[in-house]
Amino acid sequence: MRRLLAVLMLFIMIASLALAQELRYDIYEFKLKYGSVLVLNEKIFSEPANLSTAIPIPKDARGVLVTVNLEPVELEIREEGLYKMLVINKTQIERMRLSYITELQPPDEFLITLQSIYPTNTLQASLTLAPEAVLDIPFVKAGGSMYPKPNTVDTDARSTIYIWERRKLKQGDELSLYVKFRQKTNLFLGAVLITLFMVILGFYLYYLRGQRSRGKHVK
Amino acid sequence: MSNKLSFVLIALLMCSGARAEPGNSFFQGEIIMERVALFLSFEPYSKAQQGFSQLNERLEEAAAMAADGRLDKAEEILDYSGYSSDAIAAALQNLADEPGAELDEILQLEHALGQYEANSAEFMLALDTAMLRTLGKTDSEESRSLLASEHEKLQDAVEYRKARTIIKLKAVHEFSAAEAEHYIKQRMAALGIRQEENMQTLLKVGQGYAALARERLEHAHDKGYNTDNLAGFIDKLQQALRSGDMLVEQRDFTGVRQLTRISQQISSLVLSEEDESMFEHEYLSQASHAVSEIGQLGNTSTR
Repeated sequence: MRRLLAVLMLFIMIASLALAQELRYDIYEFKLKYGSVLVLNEKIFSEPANLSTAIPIPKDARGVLVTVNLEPVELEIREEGLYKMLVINKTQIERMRLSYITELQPPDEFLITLQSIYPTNTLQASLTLAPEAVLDIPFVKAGGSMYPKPNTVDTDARSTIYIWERRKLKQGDELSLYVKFRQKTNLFLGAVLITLFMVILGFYLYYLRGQRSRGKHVK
Repeated sequence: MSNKLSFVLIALLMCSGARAEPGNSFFQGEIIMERVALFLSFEPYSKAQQGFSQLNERLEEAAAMAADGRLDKAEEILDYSGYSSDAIAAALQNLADEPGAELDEILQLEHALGQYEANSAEFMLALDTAMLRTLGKTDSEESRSLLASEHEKLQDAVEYRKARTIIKLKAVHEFSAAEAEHYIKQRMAALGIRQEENMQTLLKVGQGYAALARERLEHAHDKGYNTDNLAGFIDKLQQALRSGDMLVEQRDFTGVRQLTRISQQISSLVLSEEDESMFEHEYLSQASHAVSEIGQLGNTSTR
């Protein structure tokens, strides 16, 4: 249960910082599959920054990769309560990328709070649904299953991509996202199965009718 | 339907003059009826509340057994708590979907969990008191760890659900962290939820443990043992417990829980030892360590 809480309480934040910094871009990409999510985060600093940081990620995070200025960083990971902590000590950081995969619990809900620990010029979060998934309630309908409403809806020809953007965030500002989705019903397959069933039933009834009329004939 | 059957069973029980206790068919019948009622409760929030009332009922029954000096039965009753707590944990996953309703439900269940925590602490004090009177020492670690594990399981489930609800609330209403906190406080006030009452109960349990320990030390002192050092630690503990109300006022509930835990720890050094001569030399470093924790607690709570 603690692991699940860690997944849910995915606060992507930096615990300590040598100098006060500002982020030009803080970009999150979440690629959903039924039951798991690939998380990509890129922080681009306004000026080269010196960082002594501990980044909390969920305990079940796998395939963890961190690059600083496009160079892979050797990971130092320690367990701390609900989280795995990624320890990074680097100077002159211009951009930092972090990626990993984590499980969703329940598998059809995505919940996250992104907290800006630095003043941030642009925070962008994009969420890509799996090709076979759709929103539980389309977001054009009242109620909906996606909050808040995205700024942009896009597609890569296979999946729908929802994009949220916030500007001029102060330190501590948050963006919370809630998305409920479900597996798309395959209408074509359903129609084929029903047609097949009707055809078989038709043949069977035709056969029965033939049997009966032959019986009468014999009498 | 199942409730009616429970009433019939209880009526039969009362008429017969028999008492429901583990190993007795009336008790088994009562447990079965309760489980059926819980199973047939389909609304998740009601199911969880019903589960909590069953857990509290087990504690009441166990406390009654302990008061009668039937310690083994008292501890045995607690073994029947698992089904109810599992049902609560499962029900927590299926609360209302609408975030406002979901928040109200989870806040009330969190409060119910706080009551269960306070009732468990009161029961443990009653059990330890009964053990001390009957056996001359306490030996309740098994019951304590069973109750602690049930509580931890439920706390994890409640915290997990509450964290989800708060994120959903922030997303739906586009609340900031401060706005969400303010909204939660408003809802708690509207629902009449006061966690302070449960915290006061925990403090009273802490005071009860310290009083028991003092009584035991005085008894040893009367027999001629030098208990000055341990008595000094108990003095400090009682002093800290007297100012525990301040922690409640500051809503430092973690502090209250730690203070109660420390009180139980120091007291159990005195209560679980049969040989009073041990109070002269043993446990001093452990008591000193626990008292230093109280000092740190004071620093934390004043921050």
